[in-house]
Amino acid sequence: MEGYAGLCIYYNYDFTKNIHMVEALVNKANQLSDKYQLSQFQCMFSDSDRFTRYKKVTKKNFVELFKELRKKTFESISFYDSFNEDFNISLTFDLFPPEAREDKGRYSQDLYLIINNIVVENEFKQFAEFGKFAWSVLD
Amino acid sequence: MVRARLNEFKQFVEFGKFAWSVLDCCYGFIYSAPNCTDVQSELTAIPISPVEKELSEKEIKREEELDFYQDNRQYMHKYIRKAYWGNFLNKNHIVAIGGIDFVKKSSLSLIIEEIANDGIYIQLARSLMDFEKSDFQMELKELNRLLQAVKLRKES
Repeated sequence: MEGYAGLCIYYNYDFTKNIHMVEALVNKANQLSDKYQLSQFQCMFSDSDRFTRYKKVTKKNFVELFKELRKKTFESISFYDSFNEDFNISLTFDLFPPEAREDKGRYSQDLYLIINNIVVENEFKQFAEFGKFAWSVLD
Repeated sequence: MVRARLNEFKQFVEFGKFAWSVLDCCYGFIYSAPNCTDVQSELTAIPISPVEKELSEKEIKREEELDFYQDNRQYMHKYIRKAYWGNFLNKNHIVAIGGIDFVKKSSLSLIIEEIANDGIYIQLARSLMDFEKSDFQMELKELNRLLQAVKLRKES
């Protein structure tokens, strides 16, 4: 049996009051990157009506990108895991500003942070790490 | 594979409950699919596959469905998308479906737990690993019918 499972939680969040949280998030993500030797964070950012345009960003400009988007609403958190031997952890943060959606199209300025393909020996440890990580950056 | 069989996705359930206890949560679910893209799309309610590629009729239909959910995310405190193996519902959802007793009366074998902030977690009792089996899908359809009152529909 192979496949993937994911969890998604929708919640209310006032992003404008919590830029410090995003910075903490980036710091933690950087720590994870170093720890698990991720080559880069892949960030897919769309500012058009459809997903026709992506911008990939690396750690270096990550904080700046978040800062640009700090007036948005932070709406969901999700992660997934594969059933097979490969281990993936994905953090997806969606930012949906209503005003941008009205002005520029439904998918204006959605941000995805995806940390992919973390393969480690102790798989369980990842969930513990993720739990601590979430605990440390979320309210 | 061993990990999944041993833990039966307990991590997802536990993390969902954890999130529910620390965040102002309104809705959540646990989903499974044979491929990664499907899971990611479902989790984000947006088709993440590049639109440049030619899409099949089935894929277009799926994208339209996800588009609809995406457009209506602001109503998730009142409505749900559909029934999943694991469902995190808030008190508005519970009231709308006729109370938790209504769910308990179902012939389905369910795990029903109270969670933080007056929320309820409802899960099919069977393993998520069975997600491709026909009887699993039948149970999911039945749960879908049970939660019909809070499903977000296009006519809503």
